[in-house]
Amino acid sequence: MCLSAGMNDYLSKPVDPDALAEVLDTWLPEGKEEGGGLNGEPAAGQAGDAPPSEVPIWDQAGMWDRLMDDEELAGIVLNGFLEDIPRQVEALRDVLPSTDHRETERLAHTIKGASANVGGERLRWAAADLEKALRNGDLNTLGRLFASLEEEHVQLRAAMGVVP
Amino acid sequence: MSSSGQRWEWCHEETTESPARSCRTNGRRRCWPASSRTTGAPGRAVLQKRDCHKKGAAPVRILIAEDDFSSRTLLEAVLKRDGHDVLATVSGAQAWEIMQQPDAPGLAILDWMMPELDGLEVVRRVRSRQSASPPYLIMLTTKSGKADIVAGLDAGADDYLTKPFDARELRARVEVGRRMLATQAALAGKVRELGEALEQVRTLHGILPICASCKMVRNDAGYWQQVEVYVAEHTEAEFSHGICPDCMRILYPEFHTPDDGDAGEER
Repeated sequence: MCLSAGMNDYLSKPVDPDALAEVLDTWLPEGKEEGGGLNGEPAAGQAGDAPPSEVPIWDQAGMWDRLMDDEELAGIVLNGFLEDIPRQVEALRDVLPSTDHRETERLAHTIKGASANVGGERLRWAAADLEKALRNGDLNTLGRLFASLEEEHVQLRAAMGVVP
Repeated sequence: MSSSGQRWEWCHEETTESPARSCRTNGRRRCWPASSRTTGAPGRAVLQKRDCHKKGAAPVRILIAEDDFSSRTLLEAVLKRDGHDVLATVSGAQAWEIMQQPDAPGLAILDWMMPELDGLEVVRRVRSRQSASPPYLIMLTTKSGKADIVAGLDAGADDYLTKPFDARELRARVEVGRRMLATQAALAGKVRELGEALEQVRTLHGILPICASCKMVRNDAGYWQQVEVYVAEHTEAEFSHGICPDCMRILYPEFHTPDDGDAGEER
């Protein structure tokens, strides 16, 4: 999107939520279209299902595109991911049994955002699933969802060439 | 260092082409952890310095509030490279503390979900403050959060960016913010100028003491001065001197002819 060249649409203030939703619907990409049609998070009702096999473990092309093929930026985001996310996964394991789910949800959200940055699409899917289950109060699925998140994390690191 | 002690570095075969391009023509990129890289691998990738930032655009002081390490460092790297003055924080509480300071950054990028104080609450609090130069607020959300975007804009955010964000889009949105802040500063300057001008006009609208005999006026400093000098000092008006027919008749009777009527004669 090239905002520098001019706006595409407008909304008058104060913003009316319905009018805004309409404009956003016009301009926002649909979840499954972004980054080549395979990415995205599970849609409503899909939570808990494993991601379709087309969802890649590591969408390198998408990552490079977002980072303008810039090696320095890629180094920053990948090293940040490799350094920080194992800690977040461990922290998530620790708080999973807790009855206060706010921290659990926040950690799942963080893992989701960080994996999205590097194009770790299956881990992103798994984290989004866990976040949704927490939000919906599906507590009996948490153990299974965390296990698949862990598995996707290992798979992603392996795809990135990091020996477990 | 990563927990497994491995870091990423970018390597490529020696080529006359630029590193990024040579990787692309190979169809896939060559990259591997530094620890597994053979020593003395030729042609370590030269970091690509890109100057996409608009020439001449003034840098902006930007606050980042983002608890995710990789997103925060990425935001910081892109914005710092564009020459902006970046301050990175890890929580909404830290961001709110900084935004209350008199020299708070003009632009803030706030993550939606943060511990203690979320981005939405920071937006609300910042907007509840009366300020002559309100900051430009961009919130970071996940793309599935349309409801969050609506709530955030309603609470007073100026723009939003969805994660995973695109570096080009980030630059474009920050540029929009920079333009908005520049417009805001220019408008504030004009308002100040107008206020000062209005003050001058009011002086002329006030009571002006004038001598009933010689028509000198008493100026603001208490001195008597000629009315045309006073008016010239306080307005953009200029005087052109002439003699009216009545004065002409008295002062220069030899030049006065009754046919002249009332038309003034300039000298």
